[in-house]
Amino acid sequence: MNRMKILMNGIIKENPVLVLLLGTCPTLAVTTMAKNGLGMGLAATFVLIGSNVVISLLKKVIPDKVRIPAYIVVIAGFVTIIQLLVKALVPFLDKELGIFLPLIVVNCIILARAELFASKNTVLNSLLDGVGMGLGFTMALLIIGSIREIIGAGTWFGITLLPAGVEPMKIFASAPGGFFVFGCVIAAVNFISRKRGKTVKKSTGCAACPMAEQCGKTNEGGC
Amino acid sequence: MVASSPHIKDAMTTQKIMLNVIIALTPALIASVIIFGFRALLVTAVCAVSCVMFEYLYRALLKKDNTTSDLSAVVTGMLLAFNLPVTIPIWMAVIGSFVSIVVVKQLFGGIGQNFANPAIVGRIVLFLSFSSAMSTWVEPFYYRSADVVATATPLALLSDPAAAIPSNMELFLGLTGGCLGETCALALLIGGVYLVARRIINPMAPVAFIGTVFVGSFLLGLDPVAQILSGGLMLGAIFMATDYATSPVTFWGKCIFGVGCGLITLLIRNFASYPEGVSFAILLMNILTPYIEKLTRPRVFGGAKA
Amino acid sequence: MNIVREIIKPTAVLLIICLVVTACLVGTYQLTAPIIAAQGDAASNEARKEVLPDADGFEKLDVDEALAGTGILEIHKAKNGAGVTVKAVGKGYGGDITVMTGLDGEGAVVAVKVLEASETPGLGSKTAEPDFLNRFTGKSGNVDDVQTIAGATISSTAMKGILNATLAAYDQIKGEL
Repeated sequence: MNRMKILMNGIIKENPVLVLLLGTCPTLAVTTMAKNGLGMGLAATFVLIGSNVVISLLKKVIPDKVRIPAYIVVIAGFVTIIQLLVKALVPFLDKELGIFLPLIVVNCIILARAELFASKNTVLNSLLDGVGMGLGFTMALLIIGSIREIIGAGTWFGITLLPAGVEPMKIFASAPGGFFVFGCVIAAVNFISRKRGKTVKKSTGCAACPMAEQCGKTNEGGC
Repeated sequence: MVASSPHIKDAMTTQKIMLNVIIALTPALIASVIIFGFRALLVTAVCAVSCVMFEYLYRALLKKDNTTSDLSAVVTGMLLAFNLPVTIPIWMAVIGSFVSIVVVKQLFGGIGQNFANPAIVGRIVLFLSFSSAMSTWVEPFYYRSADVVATATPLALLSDPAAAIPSNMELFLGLTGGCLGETCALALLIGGVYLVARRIINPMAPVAFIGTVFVGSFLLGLDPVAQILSGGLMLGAIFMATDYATSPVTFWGKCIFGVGCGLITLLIRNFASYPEGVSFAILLMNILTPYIEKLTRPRVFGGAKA
Repeated sequence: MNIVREIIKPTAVLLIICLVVTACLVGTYQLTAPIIAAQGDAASNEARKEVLPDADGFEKLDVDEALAGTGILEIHKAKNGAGVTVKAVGKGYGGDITVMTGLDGEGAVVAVKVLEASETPGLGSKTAEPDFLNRFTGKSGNVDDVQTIAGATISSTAMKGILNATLAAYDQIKGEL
């Protein structure tokens, strides 16, 4: 695959949150404010790039039997490093993200990309994939976080946007609103990509799964 | 020459049903205007008009047929308005209409396809979004004087040991603080009797609902009459627990639905942090309705064993 | 032969990866630990200044085991005799609540600040707001007569318990001041 395509893949066509539907838990939890969404996205991107590169470097060395424990150790290492750095350099972000910073270890996006891409591709391609997926994740978090913050709290990155007499809709800052915005953004993305003719209608089975290309089962029926 | 079905037709249409519901809601509307003043009529009108407008716009923008003539949007608007306090800012009421019609009803396919009662969900969304505006209550007849006198709803007063509780007669006639349509039990009952007499609604679900709250309150040591006359119980039980699309069709299904609503209302009123539980109870039971219907499907005699 | 390759190699590889990752973590930790500790100190000092504004500097006092058992974490004495600050912890509704209280020279409450809590947002979280915390100002001895917040009984009672432990601790140590 050519380099540019790999990079752009993670941002639009296979956006981890909005198309692959991975990492929804931190997405919903952290997007109460745009700033937190951005912070989480950047932290996860750092981990993703690091783990993709290291795992791609070691792909010939790690035996298949122990590949999952090996990946997890590497990912956990990067997450802990970034957690320590965040605690030291931007402590307010550590407070805001709370438990979701260490939970990046079990963020499906990172393990999925390690398993499906980094273990089978060159280091440079894995790096680009990490950057693309990380950017896609960050963008999705930014969009959802901005919508929820603007409607739910009347601010954007802390700047008050709503005029004084207008009360924000608090439901958007809590779980039901979060799910609703998430659904709307996914619907919007589907609508836009269908208009561009990017999705070919496949009804069921492996062929319809967004991860089909990675599994290599684009022509199969049932899973 | 044989024509295709249906061969037997009833004169009843959706529009006629909705018209009857509007007639049944009119006593409560008149009561709300007497108790809360002209603004009650304004809020109701805004809700009804904006509901119709959103339904019309949605159907037009998505190139579907126009269904506003079946008057269901008007009914949703009126019911939503009856769930709001008279002091609510108009723009918030419009947002509520949008949620009720577009999100709950139209996005899922229009009339008959909604997963929950649209007015109830609209009320809940407004309550969770604008909690202070949705909890501002005024004394009845406040409009006679220049000042707006704030008060608490009967349910809040009933749970506060130090407060002066309104008498049961005051509760019955609606001379208390509360949402537009929920206070005057007398007006709501008149409407309910009309709907039962015209065979528009089946009394089973409301009776089961109110009955459960009555018995449960008595068992918990509260004044059962005060409990059934306070809060949104009458309004919810008569007009929203009987919505065709979101409540079971079978007899036992309606019983289970009513009892379930009653139990959840009792739980929330007495053991949870909100003073009123009717709206959440109805929403939760709406979501369970498909399963209730599955449970209470009448047995078919004969035929092979499935 | 095959067995050796199938067991020894994977184990060895995994072991080496773990060792390398651990080494990196240790390095990062050494680098960041002093920064993190300094931040923690700065934050605590700020909290202490907030609850006892008249103080100019603080001196840490020892907390003996008995006091620690009642939830007292730290006691600091103001260098200019303005009073003491007590950091205490107690069990709230959603988890532990950590509170910093400033007491003046006579042992009356100057101010209360909630440092950490996980109470229900909108209900129990009101116990961290000035409206509730102001009810403790001026109290000494015990805070039993402070009114709890309706709908947040458990959180309010927990706060009162922590304040009571704080005042009791003051009674115990006031001799050393």
